[in-house]
Amino acid sequence: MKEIRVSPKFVNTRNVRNFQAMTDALALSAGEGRLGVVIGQAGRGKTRTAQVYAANNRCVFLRCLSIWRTSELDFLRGLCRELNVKNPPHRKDAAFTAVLDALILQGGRPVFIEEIEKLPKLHLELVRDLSDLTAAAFVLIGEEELESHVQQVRRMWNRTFQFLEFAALGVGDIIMYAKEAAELELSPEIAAILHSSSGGNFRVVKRDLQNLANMMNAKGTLDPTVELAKIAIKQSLQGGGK
Amino acid sequence: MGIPQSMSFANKIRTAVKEVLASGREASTINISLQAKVMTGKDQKRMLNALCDMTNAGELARVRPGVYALAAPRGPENKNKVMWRLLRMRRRVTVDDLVEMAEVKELYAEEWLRTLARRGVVRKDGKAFHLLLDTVEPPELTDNADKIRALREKKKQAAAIAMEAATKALGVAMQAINEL
Repeated sequence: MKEIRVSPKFVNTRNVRNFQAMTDALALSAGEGRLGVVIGQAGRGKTRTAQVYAANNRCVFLRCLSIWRTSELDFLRGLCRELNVKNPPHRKDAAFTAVLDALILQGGRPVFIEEIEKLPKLHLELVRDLSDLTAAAFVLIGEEELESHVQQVRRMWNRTFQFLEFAALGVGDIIMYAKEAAELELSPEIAAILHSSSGGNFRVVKRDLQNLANMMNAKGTLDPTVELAKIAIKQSLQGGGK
Repeated sequence: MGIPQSMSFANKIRTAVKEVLASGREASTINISLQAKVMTGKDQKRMLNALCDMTNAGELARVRPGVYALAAPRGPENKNKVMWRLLRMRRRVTVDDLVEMAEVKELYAEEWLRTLARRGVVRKDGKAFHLLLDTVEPPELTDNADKIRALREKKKQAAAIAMEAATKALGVAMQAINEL
């Protein structure tokens, strides 16, 4: 019997399609400073989607670190590095200018900044300045707090042209993922069980599907059943073979 | 068509290039400067700098000195570069991450990471590979190319030996025919 294997596969879920539509819409207003904001709970695939987009489209992706909270210089130097500035300057104004130059040269591709809500509002103002001066699109990615963080800086909120919330995975997304990653035909009933137990969290769905595949291999069956799905979920929650 | 005064200089040039290219496949710097109403020598220099930036950014292609055209659309990104960008973004990747996110074959991703590990760019830690040395630009990986070059050389030598043997045999055969 053929062994069922959940292979690593990036699936175009509804969220991914919405993300691409958002970046396309941002590109339409090229020539002026503009922002996109992407929010959503952890585990819904925001980071992965943005990283796949950035890697394939030569865009910058910067993850903000809590340690940058005390100084804007580290944030700017981080941006310099991601923009391929070989020797990031050690002074704020020089680093800012280096980022400006690099942004102008990179041809208007969007810049993705993750978890900026961890940093003070001054960093948001920096992003606004950079976007205004270079007409580059910035896409801020974070959890729900990001929305209120951006709203508090009115000048930022005015420039937010696109807003996207990463929703929980739908039943259809789970069926599609099982089909593409494991060549498994899940019935809507089984997909609904996986959906309700995971709360639409992509990581949990992935883990449960892996367990289901393992159980099906152990049982020597190619037909996933509701019972097997329930056991797989129970096993996942218990941490596997305990 | 008029270009709004409020536009940044680079955008004025960009708009002028688009307008010139709308009526032909190529745009000369003279036509661009006329379209953008560039009057002074200083602005002329700024225009050339902007054109240079646009060429570097892949928006335009320089056909010959002083003549520009739209850059050909880019094909799919080089997978090595995509994997390198993912490694820089994530700092720690697994083979599965690269297979999923860069859409490469498992063997290819594994070989690429192993080569980087041999170069000291990444360190293997269980299933994951950690980025140790961020060289900004993707490192040149010539290990495989060297292997392929050596293999080709070997094949070439073997073919030369076979050819020599065949020529000798042909000579013997010809001699035998002549002696008949």
